[in-house]
Amino acid sequence: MKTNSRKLFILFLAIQFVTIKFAFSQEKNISGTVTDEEGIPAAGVNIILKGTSLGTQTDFDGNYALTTKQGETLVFSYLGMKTQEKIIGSSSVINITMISDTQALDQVIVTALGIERSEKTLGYGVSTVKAEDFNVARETDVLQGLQGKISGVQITGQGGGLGSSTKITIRGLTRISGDNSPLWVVDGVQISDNNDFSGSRITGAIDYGNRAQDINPDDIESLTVLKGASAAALYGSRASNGVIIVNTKKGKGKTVVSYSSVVRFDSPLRLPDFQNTYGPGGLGIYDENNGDTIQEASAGWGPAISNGGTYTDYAGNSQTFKSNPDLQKDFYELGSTIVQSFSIAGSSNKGLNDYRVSTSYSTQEGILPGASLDRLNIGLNSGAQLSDNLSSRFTMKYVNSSLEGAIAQGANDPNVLTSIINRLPRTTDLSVFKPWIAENGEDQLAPVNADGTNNPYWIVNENQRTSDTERFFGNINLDFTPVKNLSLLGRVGYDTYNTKHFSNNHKGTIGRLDGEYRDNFISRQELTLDFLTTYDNTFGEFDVTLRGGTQWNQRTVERSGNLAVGLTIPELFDPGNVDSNSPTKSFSQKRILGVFGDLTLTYKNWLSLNATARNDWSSTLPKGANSYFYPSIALSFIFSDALGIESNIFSYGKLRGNWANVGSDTDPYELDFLYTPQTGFAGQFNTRGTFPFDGQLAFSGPNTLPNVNLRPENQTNYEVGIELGFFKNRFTIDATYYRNVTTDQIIDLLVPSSSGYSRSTVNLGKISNKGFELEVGAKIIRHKDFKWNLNYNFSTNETIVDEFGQGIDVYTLASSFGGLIVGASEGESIGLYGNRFARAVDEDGNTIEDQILVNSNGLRFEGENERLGDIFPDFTMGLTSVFSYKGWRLSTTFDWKEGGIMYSNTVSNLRVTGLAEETAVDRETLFVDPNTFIDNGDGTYSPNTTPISSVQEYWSSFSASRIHESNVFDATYIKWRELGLSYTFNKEQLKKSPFTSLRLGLQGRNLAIFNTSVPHIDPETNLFGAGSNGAGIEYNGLPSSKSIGFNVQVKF
Amino acid sequence: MKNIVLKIKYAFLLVLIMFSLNACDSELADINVNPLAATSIPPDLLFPEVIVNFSSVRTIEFAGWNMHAQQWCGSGGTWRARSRYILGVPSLNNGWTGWYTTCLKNLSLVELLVETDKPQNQYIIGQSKILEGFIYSNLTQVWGEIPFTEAVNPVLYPFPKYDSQETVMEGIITLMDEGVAILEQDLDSDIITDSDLIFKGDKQAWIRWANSIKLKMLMFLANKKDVSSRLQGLVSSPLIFTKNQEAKLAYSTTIGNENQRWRFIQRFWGGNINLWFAGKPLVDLMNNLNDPRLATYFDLNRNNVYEGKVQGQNGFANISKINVNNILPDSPDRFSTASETYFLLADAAANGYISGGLAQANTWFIEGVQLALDYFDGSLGEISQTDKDTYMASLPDLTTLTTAEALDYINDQHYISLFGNGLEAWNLWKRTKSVDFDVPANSGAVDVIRRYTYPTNEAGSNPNTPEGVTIETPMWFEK
Repeated sequence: MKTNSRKLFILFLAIQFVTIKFAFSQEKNISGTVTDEEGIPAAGVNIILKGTSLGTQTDFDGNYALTTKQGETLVFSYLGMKTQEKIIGSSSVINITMISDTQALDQVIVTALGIERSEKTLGYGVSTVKAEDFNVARETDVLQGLQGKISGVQITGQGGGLGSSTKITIRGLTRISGDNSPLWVVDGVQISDNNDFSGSRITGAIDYGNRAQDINPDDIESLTVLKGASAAALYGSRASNGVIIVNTKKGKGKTVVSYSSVVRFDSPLRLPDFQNTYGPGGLGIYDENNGDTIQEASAGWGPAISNGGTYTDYAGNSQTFKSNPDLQKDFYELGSTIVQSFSIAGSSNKGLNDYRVSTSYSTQEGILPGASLDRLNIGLNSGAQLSDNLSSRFTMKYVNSSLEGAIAQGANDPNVLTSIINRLPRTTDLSVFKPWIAENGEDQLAPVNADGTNNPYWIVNENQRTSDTERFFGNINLDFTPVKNLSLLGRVGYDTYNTKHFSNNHKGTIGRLDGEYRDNFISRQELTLDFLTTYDNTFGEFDVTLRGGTQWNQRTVERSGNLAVGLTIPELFDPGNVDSNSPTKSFSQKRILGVFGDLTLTYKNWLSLNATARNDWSSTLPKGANSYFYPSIALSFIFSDALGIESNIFSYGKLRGNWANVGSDTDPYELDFLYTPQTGFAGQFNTRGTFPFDGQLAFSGPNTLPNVNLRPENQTNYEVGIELGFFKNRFTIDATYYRNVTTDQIIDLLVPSSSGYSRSTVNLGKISNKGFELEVGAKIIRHKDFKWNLNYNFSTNETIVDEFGQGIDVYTLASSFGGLIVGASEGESIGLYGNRFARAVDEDGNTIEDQILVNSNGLRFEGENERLGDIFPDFTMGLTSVFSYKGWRLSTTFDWKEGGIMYSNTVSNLRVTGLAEETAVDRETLFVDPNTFIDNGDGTYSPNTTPISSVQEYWSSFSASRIHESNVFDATYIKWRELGLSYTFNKEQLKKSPFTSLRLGLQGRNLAIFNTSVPHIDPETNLFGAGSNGAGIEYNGLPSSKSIGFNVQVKF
Repeated sequence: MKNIVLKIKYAFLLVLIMFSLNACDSELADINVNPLAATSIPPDLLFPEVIVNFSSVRTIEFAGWNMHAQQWCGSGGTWRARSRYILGVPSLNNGWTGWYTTCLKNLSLVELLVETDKPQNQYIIGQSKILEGFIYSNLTQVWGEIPFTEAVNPVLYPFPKYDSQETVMEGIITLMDEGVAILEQDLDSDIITDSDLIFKGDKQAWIRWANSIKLKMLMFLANKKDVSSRLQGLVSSPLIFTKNQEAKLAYSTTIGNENQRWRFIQRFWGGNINLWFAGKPLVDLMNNLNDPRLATYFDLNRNNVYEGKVQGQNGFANISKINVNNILPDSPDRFSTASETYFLLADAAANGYISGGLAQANTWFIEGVQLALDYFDGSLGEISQTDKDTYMASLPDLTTLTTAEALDYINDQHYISLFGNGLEAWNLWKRTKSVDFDVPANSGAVDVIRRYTYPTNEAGSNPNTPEGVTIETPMWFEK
């Protein structure tokens, strides 16, 4: 197979380059101008040669030019305008006035498998984001650029680390175990959005990002989110998480050279509110004569700084107490984002051949000293009409990215920087930490605590966490139309990347004194072969499209790595230079073969029925049980057309509904009982040892009990929606209600260890999502010079775990520290479970919710581990406003997430150490903790009258990290995502310049957070990364950043 | 030109045919075979995984046992937390899961592989049963009631029930009897040799160990029921009587094979012992006896005396640290020792469970102390002959004492000899209460810790997990 596809690839390449030189006769150059009813030039109007995919778009001034033949038909289309057709006669100039269409809001949508369909006929809701939306305040990560712009998705960043992952879930979690990320398809090719990480997700977790970030936002023509399973059903077993379809730009018309540049500066969006009154010590005292040291003292419970005591600093010098309010601000640097993009696009041979070559180079410097991300994207998209009935297209994207200074989150790792920085006494002068390394290149200077905490500059300068990725993805397709109405499409898509992750602890790092390094090489290939036959015809009032085809997909992932401990020469990261090596290796390969069919029947352009069917065979499921069938059906009814409603107030009305059944297979090698060689053995506190032991090798049986009877997962979807247009479609509403139910989930279920296995692979449970989505568009002002458009979206989704198997009380999706988990129990949504304050219990043993207990010192203490609340928001919404006046354009986006809870370890740290602003209030007042109770020991409780022994002890007990309840907050926030102000010069102004287009702009991202009750941190953060189902927990995350700058875009 | 286009068309058709041929790929399931794992292996290969991971939990994961036995005292961080009975959710999970899944599961696979592939190799089953019994003995000494009869049998018992400590201990004795019965036969059977990191396939050594484990179990049971005849039967059986017979995992200076306590102090503290200090009851006892092992076990404090700390208290400026001699790369994990055998026998005799009375008890007591002192011969911390002689001479003749006094001496010496073996020292206290323990300061505890709580992984997935058990709930075998 491998050789076949390689040959195929070469063949296609050859065809591409040979045929690009062909020329054809009988051609005619057509040009013209397209305007709207008010005579305003209409930019971006699609002009397509009927029956082909050839065409162009009007430029900013409404001009177009293309090459065609006499007798052919040109189709002019634009969203909200009536589609018009013109047969080419003798004239070579065709000017068109587009008339706004009160009947339809039509645009061509690229749906599953690259099938283009008119939006009118779709029986399901989709959301599309266009090229210009990515450029308001350009992100290097395409997912971040979607924030606030579409309904039905939840997008969460990882905090402030460069290159870290962004998690997206579409219409809620559909499985409690395994992947919930959507499938990504670029130009018809399935590509990987893997979230690779090294080591543990919580212990010094290094998140190297998810690979959708490799897509160059400048290449995107449109991004469409297929939210429901019906829309995605043609992807069969990969449809259940939704699909994100990206189409990259193509060349059209005359050659255009464009260049754009973005320069922005980044600084922390939100830093904790620190107190600046008290220094280090305990109970208001810091006395070195009495044994206090800066290393051991509590950071913020000492005497008032203004008292001017002295102390010995980390470097051993005597210092006077002096407040350094900007300590953290000074530690973080001014980051920068510079993106330079260049492209050449156009068509040759009078529109028969088109090409676009683009390159983009982005360099980011993080707010963390030494952090940087460089990425090079090169893209090619070219098409050729080889003959009357044969055309081809070739796209290729190359990505090379290099990340330095990835952040470590969580705990129990020396590199978790935020907990070092945030816990420094307010008297700390950062200069004490420089220099951080002795001249011998091994010994650490000025550690925060030689028994546990490193000098922060040592961490950022000596310990590296880098990742280098090289990626290639692209496809070749051939489109053959042997007879009228029938077309055959063959497509080869390939996606491959190689990533190297590297991290090291320099010799002398406290906690890893001997030094160590870890490297991981990940190589992934995905090959997809598609074959699609389309028959398209009209019978009277019926339009019929019938499709059939096959898809063959193979995914291979190979990883190898090594943990090397005990460096001899400090910075020589070679396995021969260390005391011990623990190499690891893994390989996985899976194949899916799908056969599918699709029937679309449209009656009089107002009633459409779309039925699809796909049968998949997966290599990961047992022989004989690896075939499964996925049907879907969708109906679209434009009642405004059917009933002939035509009024200036109500212009468009469509009802749609669909049903689909899809599923999912599992990972490779889950069926066999396997013995695996072991390279190391367990060792708490980083004492892991290695095999061979005493010269002996070791093997182990599986920890997960395999299951030879696995069945595919099953998901059923229903969706109904309505689309309405008013006032000639200046005001539009698109509302959707959906429900999906996933059963037979393949879960590596946590089983009692006493059964000999930690987990068991089973089909289990039922999880459902229901939700409502609303998208509203309003062209509030539409004047020749003035325009004001608003787009609003609203989404709400409820995930409920309906059923579990026997014996499961709380299912753990992800766990953190001290018993804090992300979990679910039957009948509930996904939530956090953790330790609460101890509370009184009534005679029946039920907790009395409002009677929190205190101990004999009047302090709260830890009670039962119970549910703390839901992690998912009640609703999310986004608002984008675009205001334009002549060449000026002001665009801004807000994003609101309401409800859900989150746990913050940073807040716990700040409060327990007495550094948070609120801990400095009334330090001397020994109050009685209000509304608390004392356990009388005989089943009765009396109101607490014992004052706290000290404010220090109050906060130390109240906010202790093990009492999760007190560090849990309502995660609501509103974020000001984007602001862009640009000016586009008009033709007149550019007359004497070499440019055909010039735009200058100011832009900002993540400018502010409003309406949040989470103290000290940005609530949009996640410990676990995009590849995990964990969320709602912050554990020493890096502050996120705001970004302000400017951009230039020119075209020649 | 037209020709070329035609050719391309044919090529395209060919491609389509290739597509459809590949589409008939019936080899889907055949690629679902992991190239990096085996479906069957020689059972020997599982033994090192079991033994080393078992010891890893004993050595470092649960090093806090030494604090519960009040022989060590943690001055900060995790170790002060252990002194204050904060056990750590991950540690509990790691210990329990490691022992049940990595150790007992793989031992069950050893037996399965023997029975499936080479059923004549019964000696391997014998080795496996004895090791299995010892792992269960550790489990019940930490957790009390544990899954035993239904454990490690996921097909029949996905949610194993919990057995009483009596059932578990009796079950362990049965495993020892079965193991010994197999090994005592003259069979045409292979035995695990190189992969047997404990005895290298020495049948007699396994028999001695099995009997010593049985002796210990019977002494726990003796607190609750009459096991005299079974104990008496053991007296004439082969037991671990010399240092070179003891059951242990020998760590070494080979990189990656060092004792994990040493790895810990090396990696975190650069070889210095920073947070491990002396516990008060042991130091007080040894100071009273003027015990020459003080210098072996501890460092002098800054006033040149040995001083221990009450668990959980702060302030370690005047407290002795654990002597680094005890934490070397090649310090072994001692599973069962010769002195332990003698102290258990002496205990049994003094209690009248076996014949010989205090006279016999005294003989075994002297043997036990002598072996404990001699243990350090030839290594760091060796005790001089003069010190040994003086110390031996200072011991009373037990026959001159009351039974209670004699038992006190036996158990105190037993307790001192178990330094570094926190599990046995802690359980000796539970069984005998011969040493006065403190309730840790700043811990909220009202009694001495008796057991670990069931780990969250197990409790969350096994509905049979007992509820309402706290760390202070005494074990069944306690008097």
